[in-house]
Amino acid sequence: MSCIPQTDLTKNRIEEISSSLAEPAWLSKERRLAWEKYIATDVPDPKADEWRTINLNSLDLSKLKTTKLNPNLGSFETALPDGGKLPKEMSAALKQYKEIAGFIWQTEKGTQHVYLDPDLQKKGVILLPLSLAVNSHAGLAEKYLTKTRKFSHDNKFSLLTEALFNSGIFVYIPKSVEIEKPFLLGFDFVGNTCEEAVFSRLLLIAERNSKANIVNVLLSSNAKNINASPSLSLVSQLNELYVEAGAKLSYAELQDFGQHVFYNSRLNNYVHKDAHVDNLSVAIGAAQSKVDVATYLQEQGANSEVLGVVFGTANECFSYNTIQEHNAPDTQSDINFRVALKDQSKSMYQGIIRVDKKAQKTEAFQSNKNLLLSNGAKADSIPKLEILADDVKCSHGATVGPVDPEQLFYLMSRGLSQKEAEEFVVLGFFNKVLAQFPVPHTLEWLQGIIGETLCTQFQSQAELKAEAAVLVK
Amino acid sequence: MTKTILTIKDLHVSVEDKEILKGVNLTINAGEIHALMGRNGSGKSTLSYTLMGHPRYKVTKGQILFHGKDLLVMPADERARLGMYLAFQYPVAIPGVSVSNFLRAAVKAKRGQDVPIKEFRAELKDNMTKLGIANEFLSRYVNDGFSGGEKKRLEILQMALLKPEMAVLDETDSGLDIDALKTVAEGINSLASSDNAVLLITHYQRLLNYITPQFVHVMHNGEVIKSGDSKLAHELEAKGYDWITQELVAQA
Repeated sequence: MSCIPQTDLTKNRIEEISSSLAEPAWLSKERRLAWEKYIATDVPDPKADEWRTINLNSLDLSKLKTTKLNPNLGSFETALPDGGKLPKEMSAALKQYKEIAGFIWQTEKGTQHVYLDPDLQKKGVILLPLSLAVNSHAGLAEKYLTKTRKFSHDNKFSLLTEALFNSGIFVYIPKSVEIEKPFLLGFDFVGNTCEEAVFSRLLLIAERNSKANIVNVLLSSNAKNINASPSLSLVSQLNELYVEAGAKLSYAELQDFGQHVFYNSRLNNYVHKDAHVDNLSVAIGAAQSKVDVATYLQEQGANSEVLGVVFGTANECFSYNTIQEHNAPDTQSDINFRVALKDQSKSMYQGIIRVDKKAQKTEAFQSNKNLLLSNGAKADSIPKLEILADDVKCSHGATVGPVDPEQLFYLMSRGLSQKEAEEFVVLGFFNKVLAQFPVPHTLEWLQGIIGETLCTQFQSQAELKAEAAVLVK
Repeated sequence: MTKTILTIKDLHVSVEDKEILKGVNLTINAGEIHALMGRNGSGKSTLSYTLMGHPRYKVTKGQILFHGKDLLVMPADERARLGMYLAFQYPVAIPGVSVSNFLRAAVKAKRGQDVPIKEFRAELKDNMTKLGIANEFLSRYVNDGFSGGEKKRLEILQMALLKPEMAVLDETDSGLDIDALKTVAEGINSLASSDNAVLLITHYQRLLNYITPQFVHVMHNGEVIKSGDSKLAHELEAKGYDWITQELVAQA
């Protein structure tokens, strides 16, 4: 991988990427359209609710260099990789789930490993790096990738991602194919010392009456070896889930990037007649995270459940925006989002419920709870309701506060140290959300990962206190 | 030879600068069951929270000694590991934390080492059967959505597993129907031994029909104003609290 000099985020890069990947003409055109929108869109207003917790100065677009994807990298394997050779989050997932329908492992350099259960392959299931799928399954890819622009949004980074994506995954579940064992997708931002930009797209299509479970892991395995630079690397994603009539799709995402990463993500769920989507977003890493999760309930009977768990430490900043857009009658959406913050970390949660005039009998619920674990941590929660229909059930609720001292006292009265008691309360707080995600073993896997993070975090805090005590003496 | 477990000397306690306990004295020896009675607001629960080390209760004067060791310098977890136990009147819910995980962590903390899972299961099962607790209880979240009776049973189950030397049971009888009261009382009776001691806090005689204390103390306005044997509890049941306070006035 090479770093090319200055102002790499240009329209010329579109042609370079398109030609290096031998992309079809329609895709270059989509990229150019997105670029025009990107240029026409205002830069993020640092005072706007959705941006004000994010340190935009930590990102210097003029310094960012896009990574060069090697389309020839990667191999199609007949087996899963040896878990021992993967980062701990991934090996833990392999161990916990045991049976995997398909597996893709990518870095910004390209695809490392692709595996798909041969029986599923016979049934027409597709799992490919997106750069290959746009040629090999051009019809499908074109049908869905060109839909994106109809859903207007003004996240400049997401538009940039549409224009310049150089990484991605394509998953296709044919009509009536029901798959219980999950697909495991992974992206490792290997990174190096120069400010890099990775743009990636995930396209998931669940055809009529199909069923699939997807687990996506985002991490930077060598984050510890990277010197913190004053300006961050950018990982920007545009993930789209098309859930066709009667289909059921569950999608979980774990984000555990290092402190050198500015993470921008937009997840769009398009839910059709009587279809159901589950989302779970878990964030325990990255210096800055700006994430939009949009659910478009497009046809009658569509319903969705969006879950979120954020654990912030150090100076991490999070801005999560959820959008529940009801565009058809008898649709349901439910959001449960929980945030726990330590140290100087900050979070903003903004939840928008939009109900169109024709979306009668909508049920839309939203809950956001924030736990502050230190005096320096800050959390904000803003619900926004735009309801045009008159026969709807909508509710929202938010809380921000410290750990209940009565809970701590109760646990400590049973012999648990304050540190253990706090860990218990925070894990319990998260468990209430994690346990709602319907894919078996996800709870145990994430409990393990979050538990470990909590443990080291609380440990380090206890150690700091001990050190401070020694210094005082 | 009597072995003293707990000594409370001239204990004064304030909550938000209001003095609640005004010089409590009490000595509890191994093998003894004490009942502490008194009206609502007399200071019984303040005493129980203070014994366990709740940070809201400030000791302004006096001592609490556990086998001669000063408890007041220790946070709640240290007291617990030493052998103090409080069965709460209103146990708090810990949503998202399963009863089995919680019990295992508490037992590990108290015994100072992990208990092999098989052994722990067997011990748990045995105690749950005795207390009439269903298996599905273990996967529920601690006190989350529990009925009053379920909460009290969980308090006694913890006591059975943690085997404290000094157990303080705060209004463990309140909110229990007669069957639950019997089960819980049987549980307490089976746990009381010559090596440990129990302090029952209650304002009814009801629980004392099933557990016979050797000592009964009456608390009034932050002080223990009368002590006696189990007959005192019956006297209170028959005559109410007024005669004691009147006696006090007459003495003064």
